[in-house]
Order: sequence, then C-alpha cells, then structure tokens
Amino acid sequence: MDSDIKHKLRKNKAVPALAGAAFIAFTFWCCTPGLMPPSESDVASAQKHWSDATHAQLSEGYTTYKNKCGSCHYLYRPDKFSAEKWKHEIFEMSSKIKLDSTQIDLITRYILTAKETNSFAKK
Amino acid sequence: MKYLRIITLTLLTTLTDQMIKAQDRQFARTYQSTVLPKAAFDIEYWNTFRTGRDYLYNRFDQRLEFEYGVTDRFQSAFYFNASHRAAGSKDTAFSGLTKSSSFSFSHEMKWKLSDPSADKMGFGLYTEYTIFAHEIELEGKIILDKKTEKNIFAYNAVGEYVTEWTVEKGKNVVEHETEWENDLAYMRMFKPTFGLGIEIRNHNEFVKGEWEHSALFGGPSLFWSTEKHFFILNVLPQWTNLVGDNTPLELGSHEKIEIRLLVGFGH
Repeated sequence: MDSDIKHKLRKNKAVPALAGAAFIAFTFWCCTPGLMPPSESDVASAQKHWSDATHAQLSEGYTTYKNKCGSCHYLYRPDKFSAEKWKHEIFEMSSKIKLDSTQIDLITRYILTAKETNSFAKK
Repeated sequence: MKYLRIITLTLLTTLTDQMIKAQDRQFARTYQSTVLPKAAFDIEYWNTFRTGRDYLYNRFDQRLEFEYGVTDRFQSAFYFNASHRAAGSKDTAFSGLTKSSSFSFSHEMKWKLSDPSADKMGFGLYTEYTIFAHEIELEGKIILDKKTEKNIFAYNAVGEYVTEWTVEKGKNVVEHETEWENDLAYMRMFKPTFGLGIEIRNHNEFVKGEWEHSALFGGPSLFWSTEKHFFILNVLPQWTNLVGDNTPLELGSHEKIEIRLLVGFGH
C-alpha cells in the first residue's frame, strides 16, 4: 500500500468507527450461548414420557428443529414456552413448512426433554 | 408477450401454492448463513434504484430470483436480471441522455456450515456467477452471523472477479477487475415479523493492481413479513471514499444514493 493511501486512510474517521462496530458485533456473537445438542443423560428424562425414546431420536429432533425452523426465525430456547404452548406452536408451524408426523414427534420430544433437563443451555 | 406473461404468472402461482414456503433473509444487501429447508421454495423480486454521479445518472436494476432448498444445509437460486440506465455527461459539448439496458442471468449456491441461533456463530459460504453478453462476473462470500431472539448481526467478506470484453479503436480488448467488499449489518427485531436495522457497505475496486477506490455506504433497513410475503427496504447513501482522490465521494462508478426494495413470496 503506498504512503498516500495510508495517509488518506488515517485521516478518515470512518475506518476506526467501522472497525469498532465490527469488534462490538464480534464480541456479541461469541458471548451469546447457542442451543446445545442433547446428551446421553437426557434419555432417561425423555423415557419418562416416551418409553421408546433414544439418544439418536433426540439428536434427530435437535437437527430437525435447527434446520427446518431456523431458516425463517430465531430458534426459541426450550424454556421460552410452556409444554402446552410448544405443542400448539409446533403443530401450527408444521403446516407452513410441511413437517410430517415423524418430524413433529421428533421436534416435540427434543424440545420438551431439553426444557425439562435444561440441557440446551451452554455447557 | 401477453401469452408469455400469462404462462409465467400461472406457473408461479402453481409453484408457490404447491411447494414449501420459507425465507432466509432479513437484510437487503448483507447475506445471512441460513438456508431454506430441503424442498422449500421462495421467489424474490428485487428493485434497486441508484442516482447521482458527477452528472445526471439514474439506474434501475431489477432481479427476479427463484430460490430452492436442495438439502437442509445447501440452497441454490437462479436470477434473471435487467438493468436500465439513463446518463448525461460532464462533457460540455454533450447534449441529451444516453439510455441503455442490459440483461443477464445469475446462479447462486449457498452452504450453511453452522447455525446462527443454535451455534456460537453462523458460518456460510456463497458463490454466484453472472453472465452478460459482454461480461462474466464471479463472486464469493464468507458469511458470519449471529441471531438472538431480538437481534441479528451479519458480516460478509465478498470477493468478485470481473472479465469484460470491449472494443478499443477497432481492436477487441479484454479487461479484468477485482472487487472486494465488506458488508456489516445489524437489525433489532421488535416482533418476529418486524425489524429495523442498519447496513454498512464498503466497496473496493482494484484495476491492474491499483486500488481505485473504497466507497463507504450506510443506511437504514426495514424488514416486515406477513403470512405469505416479506418486504425489505434499504436506503443506502454514500458516506465517503476512503482511498480515492481528493473528492469526498466516489462518483465515477458509484452513486450518491441507492435504494433497494425486495419483495419476497413464500414465507
């Protein structure tokens, strides 16, 4: 980069402002917890409600929730709504993105189990 | 022409009624890492108006985009593009306006590698090529974003390589340009269907190894969605030219202001 360009960049206050905004945004990104996948310890909780529940099912529910719901809106955390409200919302949204009954069941199992065990929170 | 319009309209209505509907964006310019779910489909109609150079200059770009979720982590889209310009000149011997139109076709691919809500950070890769009669553009983006319940951040690092064929004094000439862009965006979602934010765009152009300019733009964006449509409006005035000559704005290949309205069908 020649010295003339460097001089012009130094003179311009927009550059540090832009860099500052990027830094704040980056900090915000890294500090916000994500939605953790289910662990083996969640299976026992799930089996209280669904005797055939497995870790593979819960993981598939997590992936389905992430991929089918996350493209259009924020992935609400499992503790956001009551169990009844979740069942209602999942059913309502399923018609919009044409979820089949298996996918509805997988998402419901993951959400309600994660809500009960609090396992979705960052570890 | 009338029959073509009727056929197109019928086809669009049929497609949008039968296919899964979704949408993957809240910003007019800055891309997010999210992709449409598998088999989901949306149509986006872009309108961009640009005005104000060193002389009278108006340009109106329209894009019709057909976007499809190939898998839950990969989407593809086709665009039909039209661009109409009316330009004056700084040359005092010149009178009137030069009017021109061009048409092109684009194809994009986007991969979601991590999710902006579920993972610490969303990460996506994007490629697009555009074919004009006289030009080919290749574009790549690295997308970083984060989505919380009320806030969306996104950053794009964009590289573009342009090959253009022209004629100078009877000889065919091939010109190459490299462009680099940084896009930064933030939106506050007041409701899941309504958000207000800001988008900042820094566009850099390099010709024959020389850094030609670094134009900085910034302005508000509005997102609003209904059951079946979504609207995104962005007004983007140019703030400054970071590396150009002594003029405060880069008005040789950019304008004083750009306004984009994007209408989506499919949510």
